Amino acid sequence: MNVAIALSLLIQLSQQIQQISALIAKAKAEGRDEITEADIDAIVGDDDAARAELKAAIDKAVG
Amino acid sequence: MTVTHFTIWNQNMRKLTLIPMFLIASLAILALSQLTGCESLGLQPANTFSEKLAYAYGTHTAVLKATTEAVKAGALSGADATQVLSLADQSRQLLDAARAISTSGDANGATTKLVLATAILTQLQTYLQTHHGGP
Repeated sequence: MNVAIALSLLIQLSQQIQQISALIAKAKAEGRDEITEADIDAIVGDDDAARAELKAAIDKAVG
Repeated sequence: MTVTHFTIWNQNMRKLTLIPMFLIASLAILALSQLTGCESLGLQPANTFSEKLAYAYGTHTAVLKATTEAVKAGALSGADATQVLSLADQSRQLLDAARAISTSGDANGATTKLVLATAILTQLQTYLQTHHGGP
């Protein structure tokens, strides 16, 4: 096991799960059964940003 | 190395071996909380399709961010990270397709795409955790 990567993955998963859990809790608190399309759009936007950051890191590593 | 030093070294090594076990247990708990919903951990369960989809997108983002950190730290080569990104892109395409299909009313088709995307993400997480060797 690569402890450094596993720990990083654990932290990132924890942050993402907490963020989405908060969105679901907010929907329930507002009396909605579902999170909104806008919520999912925001999650997808974060994912696009994460992809762009990874691509930049790869380009830099490959040189 | 004296017997005392060896004893201390041995005790420290035992402590180090507990770290991966802790990580495996933690990741298992996180995975279970996504699948079944673990309110005892203060997390909201994913009861609806859109909630399951949201958690899957979040897992995808976590994989991308962990990979980025690994590349920046030199723990993962650019070539290996490119392969991770390629599989992650396939997973993302499946997630996007699942979202699109769900809005058209094909619940079974959407669920199938989501399960496939989740399977790829699980494999990527396993790969990242067990990867050895840097650039």
